[in-house]
Amino acid sequence: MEKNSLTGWQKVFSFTLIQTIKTPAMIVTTVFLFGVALLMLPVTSLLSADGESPVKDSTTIQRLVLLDETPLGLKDWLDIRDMDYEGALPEEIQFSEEDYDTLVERLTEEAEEDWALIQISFEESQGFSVMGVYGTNTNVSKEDLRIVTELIMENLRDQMVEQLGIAQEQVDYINHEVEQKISYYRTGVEGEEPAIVDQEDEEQEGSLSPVEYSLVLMCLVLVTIMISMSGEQVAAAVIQEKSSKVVEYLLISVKPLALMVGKILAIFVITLGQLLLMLLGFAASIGIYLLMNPGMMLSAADILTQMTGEAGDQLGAVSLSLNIPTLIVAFLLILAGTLFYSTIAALAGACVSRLEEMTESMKLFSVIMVVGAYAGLAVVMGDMVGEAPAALSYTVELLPVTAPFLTPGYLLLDRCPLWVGLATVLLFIAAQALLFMFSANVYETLIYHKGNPLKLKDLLRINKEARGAKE
Amino acid sequence: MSLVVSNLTKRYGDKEVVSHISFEMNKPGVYAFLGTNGAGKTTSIRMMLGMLSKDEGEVTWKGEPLDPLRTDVGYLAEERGLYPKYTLMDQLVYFAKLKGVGAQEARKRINYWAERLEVLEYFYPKSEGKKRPKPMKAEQLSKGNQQKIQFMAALISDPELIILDEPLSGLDPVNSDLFKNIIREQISREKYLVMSSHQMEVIEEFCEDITILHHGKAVLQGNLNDIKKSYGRVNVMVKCEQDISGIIAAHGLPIVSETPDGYHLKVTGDEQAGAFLKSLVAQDITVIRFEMREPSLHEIFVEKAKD
Repeated sequence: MEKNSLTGWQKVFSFTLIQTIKTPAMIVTTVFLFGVALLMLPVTSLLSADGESPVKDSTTIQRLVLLDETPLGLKDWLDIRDMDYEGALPEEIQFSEEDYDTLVERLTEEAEEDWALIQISFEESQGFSVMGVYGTNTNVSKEDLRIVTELIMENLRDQMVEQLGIAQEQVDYINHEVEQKISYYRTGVEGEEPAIVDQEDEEQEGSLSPVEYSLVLMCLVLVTIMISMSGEQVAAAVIQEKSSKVVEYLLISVKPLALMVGKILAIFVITLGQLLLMLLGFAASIGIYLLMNPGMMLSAADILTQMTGEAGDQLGAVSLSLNIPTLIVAFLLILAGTLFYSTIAALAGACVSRLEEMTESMKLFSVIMVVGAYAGLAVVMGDMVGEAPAALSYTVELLPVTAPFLTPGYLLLDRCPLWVGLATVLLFIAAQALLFMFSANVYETLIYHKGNPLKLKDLLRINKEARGAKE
Repeated sequence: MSLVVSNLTKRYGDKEVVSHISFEMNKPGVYAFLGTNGAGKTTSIRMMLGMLSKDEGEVTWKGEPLDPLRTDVGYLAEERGLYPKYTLMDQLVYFAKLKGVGAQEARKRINYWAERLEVLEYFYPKSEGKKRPKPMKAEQLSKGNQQKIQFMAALISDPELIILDEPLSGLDPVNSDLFKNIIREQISREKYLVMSSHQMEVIEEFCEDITILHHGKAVLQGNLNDIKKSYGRVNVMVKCEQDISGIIAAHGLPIVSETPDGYHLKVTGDEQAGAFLKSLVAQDITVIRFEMREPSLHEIFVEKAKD
């Protein structure tokens, strides 16, 4: 078989893959990431459940006095015992018509039973308020009083609706926001029928809904994590091979390019595996969350609500483009982006000779990655508030440095045409070929380099010398 | 011609670190590269193996340009390197696979060489107590043992051309002998070896042809015996019962060293040595030892490596 610069990359790939997977650091990191993804929803659910009232079999409140300071006549219809609560309630619950100060004074003086007072008041500017009071000379626990006040707070509105004879649907209907829209009747556009055009819709056509924003942001963050993890690992592997001097032996069997390609692909597969495991963990996390909250149907909007803190009804619409060609192109772009950045990381790693110098060597890689990610973010934010300039969007979607952060997400959201995705893939192939040619010229010189870390201008000089030597 | 190196040159900027090196190996055996530190031995070897680009010159093996990707070459680098965190077996199998040896065959060969080099116990450590022993990693080995593992890597594919850069440096006498036995065995198996070394006695033991490099230039080259003969027998080792310092001075012979074993003198040739011996006999000096010999490789090397 004819051997070339890439001969042997598969052996480098399988060795790097197996050995990296076997390292304790990799096992610990993977287990940690999987654990975080697995526990994300159950833990946040438990933490958010902390504020909810627990169901208690007994209460320290023997006598509960309710003081109605609203114009609603609560005494006639507010019934605590009719509320949806399975725990223990005070034995004696009664309304008082005394004023607050007299009532508190009397209850404190009597002090025969463990009493608590709940004052319900209403002010036009502030709405309803429910305030609990207990005497220090009683055995009433603050927690028990909190349970009852929360019970009243949660049920007051429902009982009020019931008392007023209004259906819940009607309340929801009333609560809907009233929007103002201005439209115009468009005529005289060549090739188009006259039609009513909603001006607001036209203006908002390019905007991202909150759910789209969240999705594309998640995609951007995932790609950034993937590129960062791959880059770090590739650079570390290159430096390790260089610092342990094993690379000199390897170079009689494989060319530097094969060494680099095998390593980069192996680490890409590992990072992808870690990412898939995280997603698997997240899927399991949803399962656990549903088991913890039986009867609950968890929609994508619920998950986003849980993760983003955005109210479900504020999330807006999302139109996903989940067809096979789009998925393939989006995956290819993530692969190409990771390869592109990993090649830069490999070069950065080869510029130094000791692992301690890795941070120094990775500066350029980090700067390029941060610029790329921020450019993607700028377009996303621009599209969130209105519509990012088309020139900026196309540039960021097409440039290999910025595309992996934005284009896959935009493809999946159908905000970027497939031809742009394909053009980006082609641009990646061209950029990667140039980067590989550059790497092939400088890598073997870098591999023998010892001493101070090399700068970009040194790499360009080495490339020029190597090209000169070939000519 | 099997191995032909012609006009090998490497420059870094204006500096020529290897300058027009040429040599040939017509038959199996050992070719030696000698030189002081920084003389250009390792750079020459790296260029021969295509790991470093050459500015001029050509290296051919059996009439074709030498390319280690196409020709099986065993290589022990001067800068020893192993993956510190990986097990010995894993990395040697990997090295063998890169050379086209299958995993099963590789394991067989690894076991053979591990036994020969007395490192088998590191591949299969004995169990202590109930704990199942873990295979050892390179970082757990001494430098000498790591060198043995790298020597195994050089031989794992049973290559016809073997390049050893300072193979015995840093080894104790026992392990040196282990290496020497294997080198001898490779010579007897008609292998081609190119070796660089500082240890002159090793070169004298194995090599027929040598190149002495100095500041990147070949300052002496050819068959070692012919080189020595060309210098003539210019060393006289003499030990007598009486004091002969006066006679030495009278003949104007430079003293290289004076030890309890006698004098080491320099002569211009057989004639001057004969005249000196006649003087000793004429003055009834009891001569215990009178030996004339060619210069050692060490002496030739030191002379050539002087600026």
